Amino acid sequence: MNPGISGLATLMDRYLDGDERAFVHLHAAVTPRLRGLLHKLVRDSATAEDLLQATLLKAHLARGGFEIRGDHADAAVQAWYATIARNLALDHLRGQVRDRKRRADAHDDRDPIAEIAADLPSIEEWQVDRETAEEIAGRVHAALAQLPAGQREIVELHKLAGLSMAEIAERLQIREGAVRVRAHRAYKALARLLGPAALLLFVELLGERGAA
Amino acid sequence: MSVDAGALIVGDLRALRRGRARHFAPALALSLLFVGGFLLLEGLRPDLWLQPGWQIAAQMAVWLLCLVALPAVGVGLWFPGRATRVALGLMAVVAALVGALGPGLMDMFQGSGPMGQGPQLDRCVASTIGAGLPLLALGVLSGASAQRRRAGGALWVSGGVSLMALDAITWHCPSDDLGHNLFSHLGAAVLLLIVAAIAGLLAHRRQRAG
Repeated sequence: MNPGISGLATLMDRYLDGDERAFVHLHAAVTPRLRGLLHKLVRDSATAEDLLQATLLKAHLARGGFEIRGDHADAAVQAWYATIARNLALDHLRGQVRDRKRRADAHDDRDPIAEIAADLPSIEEWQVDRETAEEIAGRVHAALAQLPAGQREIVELHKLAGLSMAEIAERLQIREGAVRVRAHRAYKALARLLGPAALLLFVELLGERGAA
Repeated sequence: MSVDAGALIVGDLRALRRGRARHFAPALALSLLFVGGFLLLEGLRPDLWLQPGWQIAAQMAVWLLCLVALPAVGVGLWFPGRATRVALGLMAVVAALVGALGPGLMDMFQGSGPMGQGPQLDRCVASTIGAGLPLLALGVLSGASAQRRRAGGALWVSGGVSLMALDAITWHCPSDDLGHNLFSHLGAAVLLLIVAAIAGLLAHRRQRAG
């Protein structure tokens, strides 16, 4: 049974009374439209699917407050679900914007290479052995050599010599902000040259060296 | 998110229904106990099993409707479609008429039945209402009238209560007088239905608001 828009109010009414079969039919009727709406808003199938599940759960928890008003009862049901879905999608999009802004704001206080590494899989997932790691370290040094001198210098001072951004700025007699910008560009260039797996290994190797 | 919201919600609704069933099983047991006690104290009519088979069948149908079907719809344990609900309502009316009036029903339609009694307050009226009021109190106090969102749920419960009282008096009073059965049994049951409906609707309004 797929009642489309017509019959939604009846199904909703029975669902609100606790009829699970009515919910199954209602679910089948409203989810295709909601999925389409969410996909249109977030432009990602997996995220849209997650938000769809969240919409259904949120609607279920809030169902006690649902009331049919006006003459278009079936459309009201559709609109109620759509409103919940839209609000969740907007929350999700706002969260993404906040995250990006936070990253940009916190840029001064963060280690750019760690930031890139944080988005990557763990080293265990790549299951590489020490020999491979050393081979990649060689590639890292080759990639470093390809960087512009100003960027390479900063990476070497930061990661190899272990200086802070402020110390590098003092040593090079430039502003700390400029150091951070160069560092950011350098690490992005390294990530591009090496690929994420090698860059991750590079970070790990540097960490072990530091610990030693 | 790796959840299936649909499955979770169906599970939640099933749990809700199981909760209702657990809640109303004692109320059903108490109703049975009360009706059984009433018939035990007042006594079964001596010709109970001498009635025509179709009349006994109608009375059995009334028991089934008032003890199981109508309360199940009223408290949200069963959600029949519109056609089934209409059929249930019609069946309740027909079974109540046939079960309570029996052969007198035919006589009534032919206009030849014994109408020894007109409307009057007698012991059967008091017994019918007396049997129904505790059942009504049970329905209201157990929250049965307020389980469904719409007030219609309270009406199904009220129908069950009045049919229970009607069948109890039918199994007690051996009268075959059409006038007596029509006014003192059916009439009292209709009066009880009205009272139960009003009480149920008020309880629904109050308990849902609370």
